[in-house]
Amino acid sequence: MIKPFSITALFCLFLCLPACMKYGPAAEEEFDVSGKGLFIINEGNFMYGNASLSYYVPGTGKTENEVFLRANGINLGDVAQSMQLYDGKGYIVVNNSGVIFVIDPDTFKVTGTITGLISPRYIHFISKNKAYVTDLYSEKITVIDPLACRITGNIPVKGHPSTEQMVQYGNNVFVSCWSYDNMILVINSETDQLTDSILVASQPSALQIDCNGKIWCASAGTLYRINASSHEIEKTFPLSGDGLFSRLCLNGARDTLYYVNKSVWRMDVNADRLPVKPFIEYDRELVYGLAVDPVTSQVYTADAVNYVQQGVVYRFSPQAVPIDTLRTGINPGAFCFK
Amino acid sequence: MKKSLLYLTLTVLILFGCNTGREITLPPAPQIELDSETGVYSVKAGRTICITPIVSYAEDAVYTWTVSNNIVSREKELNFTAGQPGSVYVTLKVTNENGADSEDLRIDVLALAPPVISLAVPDSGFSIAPDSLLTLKPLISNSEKATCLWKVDSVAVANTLEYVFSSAVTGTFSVALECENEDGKDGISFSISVIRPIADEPGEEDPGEENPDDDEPGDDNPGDEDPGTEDPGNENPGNDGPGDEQPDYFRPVTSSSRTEWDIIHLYLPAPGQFINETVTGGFQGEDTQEKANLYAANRLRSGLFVSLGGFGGSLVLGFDHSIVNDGSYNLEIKGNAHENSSEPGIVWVMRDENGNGKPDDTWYELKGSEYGKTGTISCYEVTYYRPRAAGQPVQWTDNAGKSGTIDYLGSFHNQDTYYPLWITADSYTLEGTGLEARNYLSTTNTWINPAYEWGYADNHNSTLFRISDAVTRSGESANLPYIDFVKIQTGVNAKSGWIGELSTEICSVKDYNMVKTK
Repeated sequence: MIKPFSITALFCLFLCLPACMKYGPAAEEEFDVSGKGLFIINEGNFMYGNASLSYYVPGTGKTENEVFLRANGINLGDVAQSMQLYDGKGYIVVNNSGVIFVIDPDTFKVTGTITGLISPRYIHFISKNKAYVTDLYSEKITVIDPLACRITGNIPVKGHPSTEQMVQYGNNVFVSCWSYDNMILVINSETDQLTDSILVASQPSALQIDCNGKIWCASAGTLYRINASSHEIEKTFPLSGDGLFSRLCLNGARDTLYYVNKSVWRMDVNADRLPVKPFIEYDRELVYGLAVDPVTSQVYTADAVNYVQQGVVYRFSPQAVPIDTLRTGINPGAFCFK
Repeated sequence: MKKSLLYLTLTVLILFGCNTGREITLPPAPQIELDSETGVYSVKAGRTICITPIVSYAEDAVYTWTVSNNIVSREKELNFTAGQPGSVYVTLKVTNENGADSEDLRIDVLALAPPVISLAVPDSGFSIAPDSLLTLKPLISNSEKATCLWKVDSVAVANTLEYVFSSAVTGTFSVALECENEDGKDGISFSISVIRPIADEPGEEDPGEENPDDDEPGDDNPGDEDPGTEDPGNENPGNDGPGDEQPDYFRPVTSSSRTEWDIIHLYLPAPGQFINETVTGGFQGEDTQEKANLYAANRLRSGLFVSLGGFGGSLVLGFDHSIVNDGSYNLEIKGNAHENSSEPGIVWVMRDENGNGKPDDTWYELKGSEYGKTGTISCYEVTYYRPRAAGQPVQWTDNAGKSGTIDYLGSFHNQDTYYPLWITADSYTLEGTGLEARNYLSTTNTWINPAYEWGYADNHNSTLFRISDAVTRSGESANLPYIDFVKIQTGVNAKSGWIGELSTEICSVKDYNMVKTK
């Protein structure tokens, strides 16, 4: 009997043969990296099938690139969007390949694949047997069983073809509707029903939930603080001029918010105005990814350089002193701490 | 003894009680409330701003205003005189015996925004016929609160942004425009010649045209290439092709021949968002034609795109061998097109007829799907004018009487200018075949740049080209047995909103014959 995964893997191999050729016949490499580490998810270029996964152990100064390909002998695919760790497994959402790879975070070996998705963006775990997957081109949120690696249903979100990031408060999952949209949807995770929506400025993307039960949402030039129980917008923080919020992160204690508006900024979640001084100042470069170590509060910024060559990730101390420079794959955009 | 212990205890208790009482009646520590909700102030360079916070509970308080750990004031207000544009971070700390409060604030020093006038004026001024109308429509940035004054021969004639010039009498008139706002002023002056058409002397000056005169700034073409070569000899169309009697400089493929191009002869882009740009464009201040050619070579060798900018921008490459016309596909040119994002470039080829290794012979266009159609213009010319200040759009005029701009998209590409730094002339003219634009704004508010059927570079799903498609200017097949040089030229004069001008991008150029036989 042929296992479904073998067929997928074969199919992927066929799809990416031209891209794989420069590596020669792909031999599978054995990794065993238990302990703390950081996954760097490299988007690659749209339609080039050159997404990749990098792995870095903080303090070692060494980055292992292409670990997915090296461990599995297959390419990660086209546009790797995000990664989540849950219950000892890593879930990598590969947007334009329409697939989620489940890997062992220590060996990087694929242990499962979830297919049948249109253009998946993010995964959010409700329980061991249930997770939501948002989609860039579908008016529904897909419900999956992460253990069984299969789709179990979907939540129709009519009029919202682009669902993006998710945070949870109690039983409610908040979903930002990004492309040409202006809503945050509220979904009851027990009934899988859409129960409410919150109107924000155009194109909300990043969502975070802080230690006070407040949702932070970045929507183009405005940052919102939303009460997660009442669903009311408590405060808006508009940027002046052509400023744009992108990437929101919280520290481990969830009391300090980090965001990108050209530079990287840091603010107390109880502050009543945006900081006036950048935390890490960037003038011309574009910060393509941002992460804050939940334990050490060290800050990582990703620079896509020119979007076609290897990207660079910089590591900073909690006081924004540069510590380390890592060479990654193409377009490092997302991080996942192990 | 016991009694004294009791007294002591009582005293201690009373003392503590008193202390608590005093603490309750103590006023709170100072509290600062800035007179800017965001904590951000802005002021123009050279001006002074007064920052006046409201501080509660500030009895006998000491104020310290610090900038980079230096105390700049101990007053209750800060009078700040702005220097150079940029951000200044200030901390205010207010302390008294009850405690302290501090606030961080930022002063954004903005550059002055005086008006900047841009008007595409032909090198030798305008020429018109008596009584004809010349509408002068300058592009004036920061014009919102500016006052403008037009003068003709020092006499004020209008205070509008536009002016229509006309004269019944012949002669040369000096026209000046000055605009001023609170930040400064700008002025331009130029001449308008009013010339009577001489009807019975044909062959003289083209009469009564409003167009810029025929003195094209062709000599402004930078670089060591003779700009005359841009014009494929009209005098000897077609039949001077590869004749048998002429000496032949065919260079066969050898074992050392490279599949890829060998030399960049000329990189002459039109202005565009990637030109001079350091981040995605990868420019490093190239200020000579040689450096620009080297830039293009290095980019292509690294597999990175070279942008040709707006219409007419071009790249001329040579091979280390001749590429034979076998009737099938012979050239592979890759751009960065994908679905709904095609920026077609016209491909031209040349045979080294005189064998000097230079592209100074005749260019032949490779016809594509649009060849010969009504919307396609051969010998389309666009002249680009250097902006008079940083951050300005680039104006253009064409030989069809139209004008427009390559827009400055500062939030995406904020280099000072999109006009190639290495071009020393204040205007330059690019010529080529112009295709009808197909771009449009879709109902979902995205810009669509659709592909053309076949035969163009940086066009989705079309990367292969046949030398057998080469045509002469008169439209006959050029019948070239082989070619030595390739030129690619941006083929559309159009822009797509915030995406900007359509500009052909080139990533690789190869001899496809060698690819085929590998």
